[in-house]
Amino acid sequence: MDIDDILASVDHGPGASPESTALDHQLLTRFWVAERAVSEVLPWPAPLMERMMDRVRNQIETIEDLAASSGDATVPHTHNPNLNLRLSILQTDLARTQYLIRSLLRARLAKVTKYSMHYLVRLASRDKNPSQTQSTLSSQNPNQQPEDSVPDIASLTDLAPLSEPEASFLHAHQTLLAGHYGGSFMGAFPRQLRRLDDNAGGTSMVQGPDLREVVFVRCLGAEVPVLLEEDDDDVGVTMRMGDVWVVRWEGVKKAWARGEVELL
Amino acid sequence: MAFPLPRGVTVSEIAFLAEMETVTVVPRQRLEGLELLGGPVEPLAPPRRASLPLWLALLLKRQRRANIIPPAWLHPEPLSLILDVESQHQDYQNAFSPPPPLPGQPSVLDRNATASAKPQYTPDGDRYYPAPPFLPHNTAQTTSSRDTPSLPFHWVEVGNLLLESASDDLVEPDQIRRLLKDLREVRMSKMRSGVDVLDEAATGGGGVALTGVGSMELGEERGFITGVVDGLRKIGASKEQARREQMAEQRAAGGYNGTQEEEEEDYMEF
Amino acid sequence: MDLPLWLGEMLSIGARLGTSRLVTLDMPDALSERVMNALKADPRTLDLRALAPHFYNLSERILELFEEEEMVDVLTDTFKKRAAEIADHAHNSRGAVGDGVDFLRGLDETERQLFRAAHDRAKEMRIWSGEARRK
Repeated sequence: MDIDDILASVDHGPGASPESTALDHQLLTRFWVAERAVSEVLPWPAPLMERMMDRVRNQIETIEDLAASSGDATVPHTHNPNLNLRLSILQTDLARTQYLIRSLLRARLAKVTKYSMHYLVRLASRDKNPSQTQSTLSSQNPNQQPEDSVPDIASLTDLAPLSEPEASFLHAHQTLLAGHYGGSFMGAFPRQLRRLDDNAGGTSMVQGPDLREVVFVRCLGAEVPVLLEEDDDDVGVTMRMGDVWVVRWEGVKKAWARGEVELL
Repeated sequence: MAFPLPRGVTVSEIAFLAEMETVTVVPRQRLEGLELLGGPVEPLAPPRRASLPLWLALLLKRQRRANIIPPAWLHPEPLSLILDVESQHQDYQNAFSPPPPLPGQPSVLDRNATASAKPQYTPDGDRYYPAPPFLPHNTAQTTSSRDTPSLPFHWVEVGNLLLESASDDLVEPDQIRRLLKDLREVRMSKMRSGVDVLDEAATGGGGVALTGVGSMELGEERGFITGVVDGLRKIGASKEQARREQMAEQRAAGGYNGTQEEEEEDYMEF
Repeated sequence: MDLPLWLGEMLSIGARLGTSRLVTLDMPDALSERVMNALKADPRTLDLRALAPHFYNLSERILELFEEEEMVDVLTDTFKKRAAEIADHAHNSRGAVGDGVDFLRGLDETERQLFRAAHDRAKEMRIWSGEARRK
């Protein structure tokens, strides 16, 4: 196969133009930095990630074809002294992209694991037909087990901010954990104390990410005001284009979603 | 729990980001254009200059396949000028020298011009404003020659990487090394004296400007600054709560909106 | 009488609601007027750890119970001044010397974390830039 054909075949993949490849790379990089900068899990950018995964798959094929041709003496292009150089460049580029994707997924899983009950409860609250094992009924249940406080999210379609695999990981993880707690020590507790989402004593057992933590942002829009709270019309200081600020995450979250600030 | 990671990119990840900056090279051999996951790479044909991502330029440089033309700012002269501004200029006693402008952002010389941010659009229809490392802030020639020299966001990393792997391409590398060290010192001491105003960022709607800060400088101080601000926030939580309640009462009483004026005072270049 | 903070809190909330007047709370010794005056004079010389290992966490809880605007100001100023000192020590690659040793010993838990965050990053940075190896 000719190198030009190989390169052309990459072009024919989804989201094919070279410009969109460069742009998606920039978007992925910016999203990775953002995900690393805040405590909460950011909304999963599904279309972007699908395009990236497709390109990575295509690029792996390209590299395999190229590597195969370098070992094949009958192909005339092996005379090309640049073949090994090209291969090493393509492989380095691939490794860098894979690093970004892996680190992004790892950062998200770390947060999902850390705040597992928080995200489960948040997802389950969207369920219009909560199953019978939940809530009031189960607190009367004499066989109450820690697993019973793990909400069932199988029927949900809106999994934001998680991706589908992340949501099923979350549910499986928490079910395993609850089963383990039950088997190792909670089974011996009185049944009233076997829930994992207890609110007794005014202190919730379910801990979520702290949106009041500060972040570092660069202002990209002409002027962006910092909000006093996430869902508030009151504004505080105003950032101007090119400025870098230390501000509360909740005060700039909406501007971030609009692309008017970037996290650093 | 399973994968504990500190909040914010680490030192080596910051260097990884800096390697995405574009630099100018003079290739010493031909190479076909390549379609990379990071975007297309132009064909190399000596002696024509080419723009490449820094990681690729360094890969070629280490194999003696290209020379790197140092970024416009990485010369003794502009660096001395910037050092003067950082250490002598009245306006920058407590602030960093201004960074290179974003596209559409007026330069510091045009104080009256208004910013006009022109977004690109992503394939998903969202707005996208490019920023470092994806702007030509480290190429041999910056966009406008009338701009005063300025330190790009990844100046520490780019300077360090080029001194390490391409010092023979730099003009007076020893002097550059000294100037970079002096710049780091004068700027780090500014960063630290900024602790005094960090409570401006500890209340809702407040903030502290660090405009001009470098990526590595920010990375180095991130844990400390967030720790100080979060600590101050917790100490002041009761006071902030009382103030919010008072504001809510005032608004209920007569629609008085005191936030705007009150918070405006918090603005300062740390 | 000394009570655990949580118990005192419950009893005093009961008192505020008017249902009973079981207790009134006094400031803990660690936050006494004497300590506040010492902090106003020079926040850097005090051994906070000796007063309370979780000095600031304790203060936060107490400030939820008492409206003490002046105490907020004193503690804010203390925290800032000591943080600046912590930063200086953390960036000193030779480690603590002289008076620094005593100061660092007297850090409360929140301040220790601050020191660790600053110190670890500064070290990482020196290793990345090759300074640490050259020395």
